[in-house]
Amino acid sequence: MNTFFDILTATFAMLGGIVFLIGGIGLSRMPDTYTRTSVIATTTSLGLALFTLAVLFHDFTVVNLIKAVLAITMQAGASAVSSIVLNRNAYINDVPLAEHTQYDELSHDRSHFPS
Amino acid sequence: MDIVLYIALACVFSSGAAILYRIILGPTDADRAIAADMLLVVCITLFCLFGMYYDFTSVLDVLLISSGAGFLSSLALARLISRDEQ
Repeated sequence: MNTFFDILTATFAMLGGIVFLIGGIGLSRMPDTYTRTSVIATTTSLGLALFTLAVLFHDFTVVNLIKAVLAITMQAGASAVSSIVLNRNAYINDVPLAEHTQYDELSHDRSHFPS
Repeated sequence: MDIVLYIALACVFSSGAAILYRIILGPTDADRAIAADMLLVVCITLFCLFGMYYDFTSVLDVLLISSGAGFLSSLALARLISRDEQ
């Protein structure tokens, strides 16, 4: 049974590491703030959830299971809301969009929409 | 098991290097704010990894508390982006 939990721990830790690695690459290569925020929201919720599962299976008890479910839920909600708030504040403060952005539906300038 | 933790540690450290690159280069304050937001998560992840390596028992408690604190820090960073408004 311990070997089974060890395998689960190793798998989730490895997957979490890969998610963080891809997130780091995305953070350095994405063209503007908004796409970077998208990368970060995914990385922080999914990556941290995988590491939480790894920690849970490292020392599996019912109490730890409840704590892990709470932590994953809170982290997923917090990263989603915080990415929305960060993006909203960035847009309000005129942080530029990427060059090849085609539609800006929040803009007051509607001329680029087909009538 | 230890080898997997070392590989995951290397992945998380390279993610931290990308975050530092983004914090230093910017180019806007918003980029620095979101990179700092992710830096906190990377620090929590490092704590998880060291907790598994050294068999800490309170890692999940720290995770639970830092999830709430991370949300507050994100809101503070969002406020930082619009600091010249008032």
